[in-house]
Amino acid sequence: MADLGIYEVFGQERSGAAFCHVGSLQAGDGDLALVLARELFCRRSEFVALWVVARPCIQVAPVAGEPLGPAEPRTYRLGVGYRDTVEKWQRFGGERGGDR
Amino acid sequence: MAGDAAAFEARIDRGELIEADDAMPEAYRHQCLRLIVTHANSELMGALPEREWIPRAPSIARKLAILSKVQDEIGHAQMIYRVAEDLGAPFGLTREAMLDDLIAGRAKFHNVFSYPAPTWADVGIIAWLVDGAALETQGALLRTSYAPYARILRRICAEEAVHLKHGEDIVLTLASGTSAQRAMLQEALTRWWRPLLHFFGPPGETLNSDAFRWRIRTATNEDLRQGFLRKYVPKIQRLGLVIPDPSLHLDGATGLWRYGDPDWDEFWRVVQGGGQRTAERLALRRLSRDEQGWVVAAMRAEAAA
Amino acid sequence: MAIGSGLDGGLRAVLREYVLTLADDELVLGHRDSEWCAFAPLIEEDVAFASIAQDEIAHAQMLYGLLPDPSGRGVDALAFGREPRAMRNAVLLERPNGDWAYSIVRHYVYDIADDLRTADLLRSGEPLLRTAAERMRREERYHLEHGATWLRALAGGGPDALRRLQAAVDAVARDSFDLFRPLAWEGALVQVGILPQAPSQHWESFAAAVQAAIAPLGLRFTPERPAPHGREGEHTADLAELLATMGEVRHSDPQANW
Repeated sequence: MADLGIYEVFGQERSGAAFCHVGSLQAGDGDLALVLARELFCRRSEFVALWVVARPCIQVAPVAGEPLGPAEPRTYRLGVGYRDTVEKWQRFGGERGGDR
Repeated sequence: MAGDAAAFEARIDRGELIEADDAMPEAYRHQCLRLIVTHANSELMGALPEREWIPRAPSIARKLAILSKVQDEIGHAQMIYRVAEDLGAPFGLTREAMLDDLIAGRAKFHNVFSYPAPTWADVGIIAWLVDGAALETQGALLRTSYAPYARILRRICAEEAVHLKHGEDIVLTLASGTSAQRAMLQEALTRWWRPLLHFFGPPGETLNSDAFRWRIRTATNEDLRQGFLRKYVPKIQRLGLVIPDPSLHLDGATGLWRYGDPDWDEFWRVVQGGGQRTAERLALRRLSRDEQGWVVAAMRAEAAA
Repeated sequence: MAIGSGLDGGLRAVLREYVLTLADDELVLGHRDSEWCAFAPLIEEDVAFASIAQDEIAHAQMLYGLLPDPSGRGVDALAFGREPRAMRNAVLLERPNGDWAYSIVRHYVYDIADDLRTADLLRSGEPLLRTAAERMRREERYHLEHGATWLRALAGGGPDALRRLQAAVDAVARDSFDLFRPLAWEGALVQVGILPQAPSQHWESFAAAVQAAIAPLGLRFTPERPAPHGREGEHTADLAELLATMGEVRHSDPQANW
């Protein structure tokens, strides 16, 4: 016989907010997991919406201790990679950085 | 292996938090588990003296409040058993196994939940002072290095803070009530005082033990007991209640509360399972597991179908 | 402002009887539900069912609060101060909890009845009853979803579970007519617009709704008559024991502030 599954619970604190992990529970199926999640995690009106996800559906990174993110710096993905533009604006007169 | 242990300790020293799937020394896993499983068992067993009073709560408002409080304690047990199960996953630890160990007397829970709660005043004393003691301990554990435990402790502490208010309310009502109510309150405090001192465990621990080096625990038993006495002795005295320890006093020089011998022999006796209500409450849990076992079996069968 | 303030004495008394049937049902069921606390078959469910118990007790508190209270003794006087023969709950709700199958089935069947009743209250000529119904409706919907989910889970859980469920349905069926038994004073409430129809008019649709809900699960609802007369104050020793337990602390000093 299968054991009772673990369901991970995600809650949204207010409309438009991200769904964040709030805990986990045991239940026979997703319907019961949702019914239980309401009272386990939302009996003080902490959330406006809930997701329950069966744990086997979740895949996890990092794997085998390898950190996430690129191995080498990719500064062109960040604003700090373009600090030079401040100086380049000077060639055109006016304020540094291009703003009047 | 030595390199791994050193890397782990370096993480702890940097203030990093450890997750369930992180590499960790076996001893760290076992120490955390012992603490966490004892906590889970305590929340579950702690519900038993209090739930006896739900049917007898003397007003609808009190009935709702105590039902909510016990509900929270069961909710805490749920969260803590889940954390324990994930931490113990490498050796197949299940909630069922933890409950079997508890019922069979192989696992521990806090002494304080082995004591009787024979009057309504006990409900107030437990919610105010026992939960107050728990909040001291759990507040310190918020800084524990094991992240899944720290996360649920935030919610647990927030809920315990509400329980304190509920307990305070009952105590204040009884303290301002009839002479019979005041007498009932005093009698309950007299019975609970020693178990409250015992709650924090004996003094004299070694700070270079694993539990402290690895930041599983961050405060000693005596630190916590002193925190409790500082907060609650003045309030208890303000209500005109008598604490049954004539030698209890604040040492002006050290700022520490001095108290009479709490009888650590009794403490150890109860730890070994000799509490007044231990056997009876474990029997109730056994009965519940046996009588309702068909429900989980049915759920498993339905899930497998 | 209490309920029925525009009505004459006779009608106020009838309205009081009716509100007591609603409130007493909720109080007694809520008390029974609360007895599962710390002993429910799954720790997660213990938490959920405790919320359901609180919902019912809070509904009772709200409904008692609608009634005139000339002595100023509050809702607790109504909840704790009456003998069994003055209680108006259906006997179904005072039955002991039995096993989990009985408790779930009893609660679910009651929720189906309550849903029909609430639909009428939403159309009541008495604004306080309409407001009360609006406040209870959301929680009662959760209770129905909770009950239906459990019934599905258990009914699919093998022959032993199904047998227990059918035994529970049979026991509940023996008590069900009490929920909608025609009462002498019903007509008066309809005449004055408090209710759009007599509660007893719901009997057929209630029985059909229960059967429709459980037939797909392989269960049969065959209600019996005679059934108990809880609405007329004829109760069992179980209610006497329940009330004695409930009042144990309070009655040690009814004048004290608890």
